[in-house]
Amino acid sequence: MAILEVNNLKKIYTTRFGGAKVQALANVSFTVEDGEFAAIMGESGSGKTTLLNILAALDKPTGGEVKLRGKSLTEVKDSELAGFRRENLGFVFQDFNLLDNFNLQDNIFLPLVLAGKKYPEMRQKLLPLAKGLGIEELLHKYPYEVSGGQKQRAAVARALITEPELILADEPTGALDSKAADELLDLFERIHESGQTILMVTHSVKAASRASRVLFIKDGEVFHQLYRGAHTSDEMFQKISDTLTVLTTGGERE
Amino acid sequence: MRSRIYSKLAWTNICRNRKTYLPYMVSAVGMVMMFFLTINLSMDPQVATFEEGNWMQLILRLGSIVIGLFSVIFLFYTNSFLMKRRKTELGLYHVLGMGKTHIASVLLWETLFTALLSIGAGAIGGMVFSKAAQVLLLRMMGRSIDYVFTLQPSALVYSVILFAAIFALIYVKSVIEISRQSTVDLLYSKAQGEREPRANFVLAFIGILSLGAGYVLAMTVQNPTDAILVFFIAVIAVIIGTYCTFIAGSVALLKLLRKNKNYYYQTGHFIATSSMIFRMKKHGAGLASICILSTMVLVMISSTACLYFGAGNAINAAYPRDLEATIGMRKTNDATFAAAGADLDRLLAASLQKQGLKAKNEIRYTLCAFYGQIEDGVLTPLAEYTADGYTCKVMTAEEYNENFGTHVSLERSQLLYKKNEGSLRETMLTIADKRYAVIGEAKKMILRGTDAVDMANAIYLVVSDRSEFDRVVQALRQSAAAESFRLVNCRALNLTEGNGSAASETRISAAEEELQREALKMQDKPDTAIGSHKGNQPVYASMDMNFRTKGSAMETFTNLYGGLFFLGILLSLAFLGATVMIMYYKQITEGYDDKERFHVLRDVGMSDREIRRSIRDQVLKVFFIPLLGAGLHIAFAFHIIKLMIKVFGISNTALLIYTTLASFLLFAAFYIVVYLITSRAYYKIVAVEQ
Repeated sequence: MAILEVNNLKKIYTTRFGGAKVQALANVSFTVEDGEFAAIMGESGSGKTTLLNILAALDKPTGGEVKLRGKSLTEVKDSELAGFRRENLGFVFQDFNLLDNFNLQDNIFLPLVLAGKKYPEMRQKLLPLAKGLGIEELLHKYPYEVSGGQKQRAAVARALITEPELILADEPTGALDSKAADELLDLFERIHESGQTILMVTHSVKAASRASRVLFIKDGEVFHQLYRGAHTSDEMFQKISDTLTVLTTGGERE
Repeated sequence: MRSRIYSKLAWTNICRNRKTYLPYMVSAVGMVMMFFLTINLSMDPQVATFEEGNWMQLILRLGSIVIGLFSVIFLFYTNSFLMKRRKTELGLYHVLGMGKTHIASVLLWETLFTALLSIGAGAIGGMVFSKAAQVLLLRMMGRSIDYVFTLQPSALVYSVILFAAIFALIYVKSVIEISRQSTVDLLYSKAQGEREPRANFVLAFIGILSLGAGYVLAMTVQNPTDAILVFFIAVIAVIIGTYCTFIAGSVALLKLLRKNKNYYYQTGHFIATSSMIFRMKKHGAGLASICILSTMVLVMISSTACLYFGAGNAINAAYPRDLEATIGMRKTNDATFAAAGADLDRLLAASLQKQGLKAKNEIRYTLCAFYGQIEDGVLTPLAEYTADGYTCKVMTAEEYNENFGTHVSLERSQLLYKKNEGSLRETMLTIADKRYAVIGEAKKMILRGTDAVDMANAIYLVVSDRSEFDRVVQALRQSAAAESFRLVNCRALNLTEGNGSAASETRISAAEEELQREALKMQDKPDTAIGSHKGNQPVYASMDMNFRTKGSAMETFTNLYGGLFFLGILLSLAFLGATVMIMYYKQITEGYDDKERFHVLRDVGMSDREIRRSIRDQVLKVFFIPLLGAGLHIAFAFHIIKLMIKVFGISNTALLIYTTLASFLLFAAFYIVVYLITSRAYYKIVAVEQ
């Protein structure tokens, strides 16, 4: 069953003085199945960030629609949007977006506190999660006291603690060294295996090669997609690299 | 031309950073103006010609010193804010190949432009407003405004020198700062992770202790003569206390709140509590400064306004009649004293006649005045005045009735009293070995001249009749006070013109001058005097004659207090300006910090409205704590301000309450307006995201 349906999404930006129009998304359609680990790849300026912002309900499309579990995002009232995002979506960002004035534990609690949950309940949810992510020793540290990989794991914990329908990850390995990136991708795979749906935007071939499906965006459209099927990560890596070569050398659509 | 490049770069820098540069220059212009205005007036030759003009100019000169010192501190503060924001930019120059010396020359040009603009604009503004300031000062001193507009060139020179020196020092400081830091430090000085502040419980404790000590000192001081010294100590204690409490106490309190899990993990408290910890760490000192400055403004305005507006009442109380004439004599016998009284009457009659004035509602009485101490129900005469003693005055019931329209009759062992403040605890009072029953207050008694407002304790005693009065006088002649006690003949009268209408000020002061002249003649050339003691120099030499008119007293007071009030307003303006600037800079810093926080919170699932409300709540708390603190300070300072004002001769609690409340309300309104205006700068920064 499709958890996320994206139909004919368009986004046109108008410059401030009403002059030139820039098309960020021309016509994007795809679906993400329940329990899938999908990656979206594309160069800078291909519309990745715009797409993610629309999926996250932070931005509104010019045309087309996004449905989450059959419910169109445009139907959600503005006043309920924040709550909707909090309950259904989990976010992992390139630069972690942890608040410096909270320790890791409080950063992870943040969405729950906003939802009005009580401390004992939050604590109960946190403990197994922190253990699974290997950050239970670090909960009382502040973001500036831990490494990038640890920060990103805390951010993952913050995304998971609300048990969202969908995790949206924006270049999650972008600010990590290769070891920490590998660890994070292992973690994503584990989460995925436990049944969590993940949609990751990246331009790292290595990150994308871990996904079960890779979508390629170019010039605001879905250009191509690769299914992992029975391939290993290494084979997937090779296939993605080949596709990117075709993409950048301007090959025609298959 | 290389220097052309630097000057051009410097100029673009100033223009590009105008959001932070403009307020800096505006405050510099304001300070230059304020300093120039004050020092210009303090040198104004016309102000010097007033009766109290010298005193006034001394006050103004002191005021200009305060403004000068304050300018140094304040401009350094605002400049450090400026530099902090610009370090990344300067670091970038360094990376792009400019040496530190080159950066220093860019800074030199920047400082030069800033200094030229601010000193120039300040001096021009000062000259433009100097006439207005002069008019205001004269108005408040109760003078007519027919003085010509004057500018003192030396005032201009002083202002230019002072502010040029300040800017030079600021430049030196900036260069030292830049040269000490590496390029990387400069580039990333803003991005350094914020450490969570440690809760310094020791400092918080010291702060609260110091604050408490200041408050207790201010509340418990009893003697007006100690008040000024105690006030200074209390001010220092409160300043230390305020800084420690704002910086450490607030963090400690918030951390305690955070430990309480049920409180902390609530939607409304969670973000507010933890962000406040960081806000207070960064802004504690600035907020404490705002609090202190606000308190200073309140203290200055409320007290000087009380002096200024209270002068009229105080003078009416102290001078019940238009003209007061007294003749006091030491070591005298009854006959000489009576003859001197007759001389005084003759002198008054002659002078008034010469001016064509008539006496009305005359009060005449004899006082026996001495210093004394009341202990265990015994009034002991003293040779000299002591701080815990009284100036005592004795009069008879007969004269009391006659002069104040009462119908009191006393037994020979009874007396009435009147103190300048409070009531007498003793019910029995022993004077000259005789026990008197204190049966009540002489309610109608008007205390003479300075006794009414004097900082010293004064007590008036009414005895039954002349024989009791004489008994006290006889006893005094045998006591320690023998050399210092005086018998005083008092005359107080209203004056009318020949046709019965109220006498004009000029005629009254002419009469006063006439009396002074005649009195001097009596003492210097007894042969030509009117008196009955022709040629009897020793008698005249031992008396002190005093003539005071209500009008001249009023003039002295309004001169003095008008000047003080003027200075209070001037200094308050300077401090208010500083408060506004600090607030503005704080809002800007908050804005840049919150911009990032805003972003994260939105991503985590907080709606824009929730975020804005949360931030507004915090910013509101942060900015209104200083106002609250100032209110608290002024409430605790009320008692000691009352005492200090008494030293200046005004004792009017109700008026002080009014002026304090009025200045607080006015200030609060001003504060809110400034807050609203500066918070627009804040929202502009935060809202760029959307």
